[in-house]
Amino acid sequence: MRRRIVRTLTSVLLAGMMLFAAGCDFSTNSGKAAKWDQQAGTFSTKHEKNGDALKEKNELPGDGIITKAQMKTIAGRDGSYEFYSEDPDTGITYTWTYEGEKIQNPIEQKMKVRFPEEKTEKVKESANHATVGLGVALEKANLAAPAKLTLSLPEKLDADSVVLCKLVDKKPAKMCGVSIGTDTKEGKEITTLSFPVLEMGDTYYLVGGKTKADEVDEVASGEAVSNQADPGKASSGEKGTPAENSGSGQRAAKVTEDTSPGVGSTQGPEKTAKGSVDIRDRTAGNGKSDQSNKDDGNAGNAQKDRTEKTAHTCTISIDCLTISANSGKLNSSKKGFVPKNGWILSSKTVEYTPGETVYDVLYRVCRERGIQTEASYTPAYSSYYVEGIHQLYEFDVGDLSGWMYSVNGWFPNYGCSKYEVSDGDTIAWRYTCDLGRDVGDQYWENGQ
Amino acid sequence: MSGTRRRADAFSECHPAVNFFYFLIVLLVSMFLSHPVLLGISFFGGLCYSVRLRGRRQVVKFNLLFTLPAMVIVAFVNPAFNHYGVTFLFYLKTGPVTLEAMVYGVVLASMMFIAVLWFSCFNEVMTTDKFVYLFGRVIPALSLVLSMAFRFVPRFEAQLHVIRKGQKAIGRDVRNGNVLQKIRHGITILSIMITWALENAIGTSDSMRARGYGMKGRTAFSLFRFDARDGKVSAVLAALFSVCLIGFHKGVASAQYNPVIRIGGLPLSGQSLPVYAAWAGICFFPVLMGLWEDHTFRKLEAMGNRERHLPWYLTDGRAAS
Repeated sequence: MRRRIVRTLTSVLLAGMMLFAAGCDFSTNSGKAAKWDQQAGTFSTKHEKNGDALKEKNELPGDGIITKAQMKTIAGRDGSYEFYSEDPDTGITYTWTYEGEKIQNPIEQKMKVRFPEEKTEKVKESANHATVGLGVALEKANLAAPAKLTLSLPEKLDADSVVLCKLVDKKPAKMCGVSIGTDTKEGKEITTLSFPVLEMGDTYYLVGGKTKADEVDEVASGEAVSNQADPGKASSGEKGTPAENSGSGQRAAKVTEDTSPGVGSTQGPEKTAKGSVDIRDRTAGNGKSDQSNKDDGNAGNAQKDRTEKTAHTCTISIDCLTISANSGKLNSSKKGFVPKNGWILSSKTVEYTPGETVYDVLYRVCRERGIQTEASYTPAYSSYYVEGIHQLYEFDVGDLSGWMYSVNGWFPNYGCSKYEVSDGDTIAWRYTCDLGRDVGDQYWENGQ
Repeated sequence: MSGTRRRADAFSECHPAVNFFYFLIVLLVSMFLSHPVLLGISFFGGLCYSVRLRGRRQVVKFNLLFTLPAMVIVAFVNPAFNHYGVTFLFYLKTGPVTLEAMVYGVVLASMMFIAVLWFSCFNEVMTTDKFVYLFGRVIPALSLVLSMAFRFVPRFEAQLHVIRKGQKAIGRDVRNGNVLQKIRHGITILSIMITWALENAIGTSDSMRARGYGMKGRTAFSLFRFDARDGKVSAVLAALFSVCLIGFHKGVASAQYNPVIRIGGLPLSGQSLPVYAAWAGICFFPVLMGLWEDHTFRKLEAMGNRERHLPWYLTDGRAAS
């Protein structure tokens, strides 16, 4: 009798499970429907007047806003996309450059840039009487991807080193270096300044001056006249920063040509120009000096070595520096796992195979070094969520604590297993005790 | 169950308040202090009492069939989803599988197992009338709902027997016909059962209202008196529990599994031993009380038999020697 009851109960359970499974199936169907809707959405925006699919170069609308639907059209695509506009008051043309593949979670972008002049004199004064000062006000918004902002000034700037500053306690604090280039416009030489934008919502200042007057002209003209200037001449330049930059740019250009000789023949100049911009930006960002001066003789080999060496490496670091300031809130059972200096893994350069994501790199590095990690897959974001590293878990230091990651200084607005690592990326895993505010993420400040 | 004579249990005959608070304490301590020694003691106490109340066969069968598999599942599921701990065994895509998580899985599972054991005793001891007697006046609606919920599964099972016998008589049992018909008959029985359960619940509540349940001045059907024995039992339990509380306060019962296993009170010391002894006293109290009562009863019976000079074939055979 009892056995029969068990059997009945089992059949009831089975029926329930089947119903549940059917429910799941239904939900996946609805998921598909949602996706299809999305596609339909982008499809329809293509035909809208305002929401055209973005091209490689776009002129910004008057308010500088690129909508979410528009950003969606370039999300995950290869290539870089430019958005340009001219400030009517100062005549400065500014260009935003986005890497399409870095956009995984498209959001509305506010790209209007203003150039306020109220405080520039003060900033110039406090920055050791700099000769150049330019205020750049960016809108309060979150970035969909790390962008590069290039300013084409209406005249030639009398400076050879410019840095990006931000006012911290009314004093300018350096954020990063700015690469200087020259261009010709209507037969006039003009200066272009470009720098990576990692945060927004404030007025930033470009401060600069002149250190070595002679070289700038020479190198600038060299670059302006021909892209194919011979490498020997460029690398024989002195140690001044611009000379180095242009040197590396040309060498990199040569490498691109070498690797793809077929394509290079017709579009050679354009390609090299692009390559030079890329590399220059990277060297400026890393702040490393080039080795060009040392290996003049076998430049070709050196290039090859360098490309092979840097092709598959990235830098990763894991820290919990913020815990020391919040040690009162620390879960008592985790006290032994907070390193004294706050670094769980100090900056390490590791190799990776192309296609690996930030999560893959973290997992592999931690596994190799015996650092405990825990992550869970979140289907809603189709990404792994890192719950804990080295026994330090989310919520261990108060309700607002957990792990965040940044790549090259930008905190992506999507999960770590959706971010594909690229050459020379600097990945930083940081423990926050305040929803990212204490590690430099602006998501909650700049969000709606 | 039908064959064996139901034993009178001394602890079940205590005042419902004593019973209720006893189970409350034992369940709360077992469920919230995940200390292995306390859990072990609680397990053996619960097992002995459960065997005493429900018979050895049923307890073993139920536990082997339902609780043990569930326990194994929980013990293996925990380390698959939690990767805290410093002793790595092997790796999953989400992190390392650790010994600590596995141990905690076993502890968690045994906690569940022990709670089920004690609840089976609770169901035997705290009958519906006791529950309603205790809470009928304080929280009438809730206590009625709770007593109905506690009784739901056994009553559902009993009713299922009745319905299935009826269906079988007209050839519509779940064993009749082909697969499709079997399913159809099963669904019919399920539908009958659910209808009966819903209707029965409404019937019960209507009937209770008709009898003035929850009104002022209404007394319970069963009357219990808090007598001298209840007083003594409460005093002993309270004394034992206060020893335990002092020990818990001193960290004898502290247990940590994440990220490192740290068990308080081990190895046994002058501080921890009395606490564990007191806890064992609490957990084995109902069994010991029952045994002592059985012993006293047998002694009295034998004495009575001797005094009345009954021939051996009229005595129960129990007090022969």
